[in-house]
Amino acid sequence: MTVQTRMVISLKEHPLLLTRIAALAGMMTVFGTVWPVLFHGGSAVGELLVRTHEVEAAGDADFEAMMEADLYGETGEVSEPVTERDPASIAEHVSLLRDLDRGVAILCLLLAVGLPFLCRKWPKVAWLYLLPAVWLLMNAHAGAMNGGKAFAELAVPAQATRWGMFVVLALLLSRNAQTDCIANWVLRIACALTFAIHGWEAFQLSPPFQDLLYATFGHVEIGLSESACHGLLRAIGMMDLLLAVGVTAIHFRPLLLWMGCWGLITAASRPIAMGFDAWPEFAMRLPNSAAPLLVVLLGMPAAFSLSPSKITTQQEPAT
Amino acid sequence: MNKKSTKIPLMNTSRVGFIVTSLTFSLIAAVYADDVALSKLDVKTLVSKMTPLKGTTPAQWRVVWTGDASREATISWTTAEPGTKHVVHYGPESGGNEKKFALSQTCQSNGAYSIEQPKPQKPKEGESAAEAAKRNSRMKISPAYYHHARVKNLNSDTCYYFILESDGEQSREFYFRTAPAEGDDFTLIHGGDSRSGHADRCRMNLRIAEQAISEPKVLAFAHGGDYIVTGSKWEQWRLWLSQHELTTLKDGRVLPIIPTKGNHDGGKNGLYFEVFDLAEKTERWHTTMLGKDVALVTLDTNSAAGGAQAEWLEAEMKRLRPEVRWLLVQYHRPMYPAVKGPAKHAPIFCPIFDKYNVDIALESDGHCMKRTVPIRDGKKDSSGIVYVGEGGLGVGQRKTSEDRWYINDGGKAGSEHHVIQLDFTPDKMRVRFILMDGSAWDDHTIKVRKR
Repeated sequence: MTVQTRMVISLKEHPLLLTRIAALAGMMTVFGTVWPVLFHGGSAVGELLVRTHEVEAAGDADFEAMMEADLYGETGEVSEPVTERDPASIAEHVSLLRDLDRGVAILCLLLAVGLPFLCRKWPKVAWLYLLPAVWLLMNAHAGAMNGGKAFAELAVPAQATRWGMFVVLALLLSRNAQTDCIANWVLRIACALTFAIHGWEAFQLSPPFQDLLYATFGHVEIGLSESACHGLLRAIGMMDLLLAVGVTAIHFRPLLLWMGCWGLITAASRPIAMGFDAWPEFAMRLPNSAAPLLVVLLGMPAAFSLSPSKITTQQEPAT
Repeated sequence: MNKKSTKIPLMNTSRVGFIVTSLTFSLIAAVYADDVALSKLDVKTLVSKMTPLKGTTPAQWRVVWTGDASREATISWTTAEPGTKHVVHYGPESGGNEKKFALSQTCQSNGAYSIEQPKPQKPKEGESAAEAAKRNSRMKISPAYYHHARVKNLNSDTCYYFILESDGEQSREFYFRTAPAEGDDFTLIHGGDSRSGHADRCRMNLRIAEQAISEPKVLAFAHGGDYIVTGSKWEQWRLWLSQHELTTLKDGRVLPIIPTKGNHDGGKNGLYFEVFDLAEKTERWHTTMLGKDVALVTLDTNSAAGGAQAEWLEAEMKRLRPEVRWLLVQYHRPMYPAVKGPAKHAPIFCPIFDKYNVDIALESDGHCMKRTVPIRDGKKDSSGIVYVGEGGLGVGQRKTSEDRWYINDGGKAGSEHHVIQLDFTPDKMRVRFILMDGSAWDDHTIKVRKR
């Protein structure tokens, strides 16, 4: 019996397993992302909007133009006078943006939690899963624009499993052979992007990754030397890059299962290193573990083609 | 009016009294007006206080401290043209009108700032290639050149007067005071996050100068990082540097800056290190000795906490703690934040802070005001460390999370532009949050630890 046939049996026995795992991973990633929005300042999109408004309200562009003209002899167009808005009105607008930010975050959380139930009755609402996907994608993009973090510019591909998970959910809940095949490829590409970017960051000795290792090893009272830490990170980076290539090139179950385990280990390393307060960081990274497992469950081949596999063409009722 | 015109000519004493009274009131009014107008200074006035970057005229001056502040300093400035000879003339006495100083130091480090030119924009619809080229030429950022003179073997607790000279172009006379060799009867100002809000950034710079005028014991200014939004952009650094001129007092006194690198100050071109004359590989973290009794350890929260930095910190703390009365740390990302989540450095840094009984931790990044309760081992403890911050030099302020245990159980949080003023005495350190209008939001005292 081949691996893929065993997978089909498994899915027949548990027809809802695939979507349930995806829905749970999606729910957790949104929960982990929403938590800091509600209690730690705001989302990356909210941060970007607030900063843009504050900079505009403070008249920074006009101020810069005036300095460029007066101090640096650059022929900018100076619009005088520079108008600064009343601080109270700025604060009011910022407060409105913060409320909007929280409102959108709560809406996405409600969708992530409520849609699995709604989809049982109205399968077509599954496309509403694209809203949290867009929200997570926008947050990743805003994170890249905000900068200020190591490798921030790579946030969109680095978080591909997070926003990709909701695209996959929308596809899986309107299941047919074609959408399964597309979901298979969305998952594989998302896994490849996330693992490749994280691998690259590790290989480049990303400081936050170094600290995860130092702190984790510190908990078990192993003093990790700098050279050992760097060596370990480079090895991890290489492994992640190879896994990223592997997930798109071959369908090898042990490799996908290891990717799932490794995704879980790296997600768990945050609360292990930082303490339980860092649980949102664990929750938001669960798709890194769930996505390769979903590829296993889908059981579709990894080939450079979008043609549907004959193995998993059974129709599953929308959940 | 009639009364004045009839009374004043009658008695000489009245006339003298009137003049003296008028002058006194005028003086008070002038001083008072200068103070209250700070938050209302318009942009044109603010810009007019800065030095244009032209030719080899020295501009954007700063004095940088990263080592022994009672013995050495780096005096830096910027010119628009490279020039050939860059010298700082200095001495313990003013050069007077003839600008004659006892000492001089040729800049040991000169060079062009690493400028990334913006990509040229494509012609707009209906725009000719010539018009597009003209528009693109406006976007070209003018080159600029740094000059760093490292002066050593200075006398402690001494005012050093200096002028900057680039190819014969001289600046006006400035001065700074070196740290005392012993004792701690001085004041340090700390602030962070000046990355946006130019007008308020300028006003806070003027506030720093005002604090130094009103309290002459102010010795230096420690910046907690996030000077600008994008650390790889010279067009942002030059604004900050020009605006930093406003921290200079009217009498020419320059407050040396003790820099910290924020998360927005990085960039592959290493401008942060060019601005402050730091070696990228070896001076990401450093100790500034403010005499024998006060040490300010600066850490880098952009680098890994573990490994080399943790080893250095442990060794530095072990060396310093028995020797100094006041052991301070400054870094950018907060360990006990009032807005965001804690820095990933906390599990590594905080146990070392606890072990060596740091007296105060100066933080930034959160864009708010915060003073925690004393904390040891992650719990409130009267023998613990007070963490203060978190940056308000112009950047928009954020709403704090008041429910955090280290704030609501005896700590304090708020949202206003501010600097933190640390007044050292042999037995206590007074920590005040000074707002833009000069008022104090918080006034807290930390007693010296038993040694």
